[in-house]
Amino acid sequence: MTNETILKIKDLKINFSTHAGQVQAIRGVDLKIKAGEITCLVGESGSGKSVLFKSIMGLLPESNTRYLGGRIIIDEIDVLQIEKDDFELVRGHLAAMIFQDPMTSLNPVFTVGSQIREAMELHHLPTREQILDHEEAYGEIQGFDKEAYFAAHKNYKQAQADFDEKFKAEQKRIRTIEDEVERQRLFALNVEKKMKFLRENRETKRKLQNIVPRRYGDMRVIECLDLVGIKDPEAMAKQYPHQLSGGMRQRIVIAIALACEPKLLICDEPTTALDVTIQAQILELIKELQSKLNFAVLFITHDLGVVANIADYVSVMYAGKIVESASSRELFYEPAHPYTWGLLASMPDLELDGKQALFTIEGTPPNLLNPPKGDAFAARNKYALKVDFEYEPPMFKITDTHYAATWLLDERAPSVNMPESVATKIAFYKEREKKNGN
Amino acid sequence: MATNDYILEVEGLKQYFSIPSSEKKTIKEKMFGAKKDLKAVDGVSFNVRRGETFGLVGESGSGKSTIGRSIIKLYDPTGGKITFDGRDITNLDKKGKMELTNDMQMIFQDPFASVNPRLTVEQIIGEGIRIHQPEKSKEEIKEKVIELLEKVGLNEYHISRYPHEFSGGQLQRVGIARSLAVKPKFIIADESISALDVSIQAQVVNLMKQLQNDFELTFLFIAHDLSMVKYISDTIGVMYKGKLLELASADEIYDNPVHPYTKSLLSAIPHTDPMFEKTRTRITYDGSMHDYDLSNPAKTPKEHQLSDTHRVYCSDEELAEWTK
Repeated sequence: MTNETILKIKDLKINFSTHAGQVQAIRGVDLKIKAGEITCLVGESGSGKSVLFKSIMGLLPESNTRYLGGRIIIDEIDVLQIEKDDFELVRGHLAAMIFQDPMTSLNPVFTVGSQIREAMELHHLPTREQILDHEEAYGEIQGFDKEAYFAAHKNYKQAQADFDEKFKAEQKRIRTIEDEVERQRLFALNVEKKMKFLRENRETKRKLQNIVPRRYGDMRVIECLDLVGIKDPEAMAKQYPHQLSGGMRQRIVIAIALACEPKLLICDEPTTALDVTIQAQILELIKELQSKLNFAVLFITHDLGVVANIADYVSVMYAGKIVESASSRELFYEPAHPYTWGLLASMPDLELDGKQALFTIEGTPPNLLNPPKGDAFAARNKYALKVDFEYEPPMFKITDTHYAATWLLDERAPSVNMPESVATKIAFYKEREKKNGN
Repeated sequence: MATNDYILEVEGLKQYFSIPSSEKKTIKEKMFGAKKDLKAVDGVSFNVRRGETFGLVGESGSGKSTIGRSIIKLYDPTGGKITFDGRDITNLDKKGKMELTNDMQMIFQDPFASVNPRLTVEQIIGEGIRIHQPEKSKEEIKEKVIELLEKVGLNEYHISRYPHEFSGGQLQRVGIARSLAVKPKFIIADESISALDVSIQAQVVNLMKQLQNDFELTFLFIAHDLSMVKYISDTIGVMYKGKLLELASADEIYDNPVHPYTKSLLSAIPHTDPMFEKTRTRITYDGSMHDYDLSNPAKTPKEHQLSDTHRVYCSDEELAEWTK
């Protein structure tokens, strides 16, 4: 159950048409996110990390976005193939987002409570237990035929489960078909069937949502606010966004995201605009909620300190590609890609660094209008080999969870050591770990 | 130490803003009723040595940005005295302020809010040169702008672009180039690297250090990212609610913090070590300790000089307890 794959991205390629030509924003990305895990996506601005998450959410502008290939698979459905109107059926119930600037994602003219309510009424359907718990705590709800609701809710869930079972069995059967054309045709047919079912299902869900009494919604809003650690949730529900501090606003945005009960929470630099002390609190909150509610987190950031704090798995992105992906420990203790070395070396360390110049990665990321031949990082990489300028490195496997795209890992490559400052840092960390472990 | 070793001396700086008194409820009362003072900066003193980098840290609302703006005369101080380069600049007229910006420049927090969206990069960076060095020709200015762009890691082809065509990080570098254009002696950098990528931060910080050596620049570096502040600063001041709580050399602040607020700030810095991050505990800070009982002299806060370079703002009782 905990290892259910929530989202799978396969060899995704995205171009943007601009006046100057085709910008190759995403150039073949593979990513897999499982329930109960926090995956961090690290990269500098322009590396494509924001484009990647927007493509997951279907937020890219239709007019100039071109999907050149690859798939984004949610619940066995390739969401790039379905109609725009159906997005909400697949993605809406799956993922919620938190942005960098909480003020721009909140509406200034509505109270906090009504904004949480709006999100909730779109996606949340209380279960029998939730209604009963509510009645136990606050007394019986008048004028609500709960038995009828429970029956309808049960039917709704049952129909969903029945269909899913049939759908999965059919998918499995189709996979065994050898004829490629026939297989693809059947897949498309099957997905179309599912979309039709989901569309009908949406109507039922709306009807059910209309029966749910308002009082339950009020309580649920308070619950959500309580969940994100707000001291006086009743009073908070009546506040407007401008009355709150940045950290509080970010908590509200998290509450809105959670009101939809997502399976995947996408956080786009949620703490970059906050103070360190508040940042620490918000990270703590995300980790706590994640372990309580067991959703998957895709956390986008450029701060490796934050990554070290929060990540289970890390993917490093450069020029529209993932260049290294590893578990958090592997990335920080055994980094393999020169770009990762560079990132690690450019962070000052409180215990170690004196006043010598910080290591920097010279130059700027390549212009993705005309990505260079070979490895995109080669021009800035002082460990670059001749082959880097000719051929693109594949992902070399280091361990089951650790992959890196650099020719340095090829068996023919000369042995190269990581920069000294990084090696010293890691040695120091390992030493400290040993000390703390004993 | 002779006074002219200090490029900037700030003495008891006070910056109050009047806001409607919170008891007033109606709009009429809010607009025309009695005002009360919001003490954004409340009696802060510090000196900045020529050629050093002075770091100011603190959470949002602590008054650190206000100090920067008071120094460069975006605000007129409510009280106190500011001396820059041996000259009293507490009260300046319009012309005086104009002259001041030839020696003192500021890099702002939000790059998009601090440039005119209708101007090209060439105009943005060249504006200061045009005003302060009117004898320069258009070609000379353009040459200078290109040189500055390259210094901050941008390219010549960026020169004709407009602000909306840049990412936040790139535009911030335009802001830095603009501040360098008039060759100032003193630069106030207000959170100016928080919006940049890590690798670019390192480039910009190295650049700032290099420029500091080349031109004997002095920086007032305002930030909340303590790891970078420690790295770049010689002296660090910790602000909280308009007061300068602790002032010491960078190493002293990190190795030997006295004030609990400084300790809590330090404990919130994320380290790039996942195993360490999982085990460490954070120190939380209770702001209510600042409700001092002013009737009791032992509980009244004042500035305590612990050593030549280390100063703490607290009451006698607290100091005794913290340094036990």
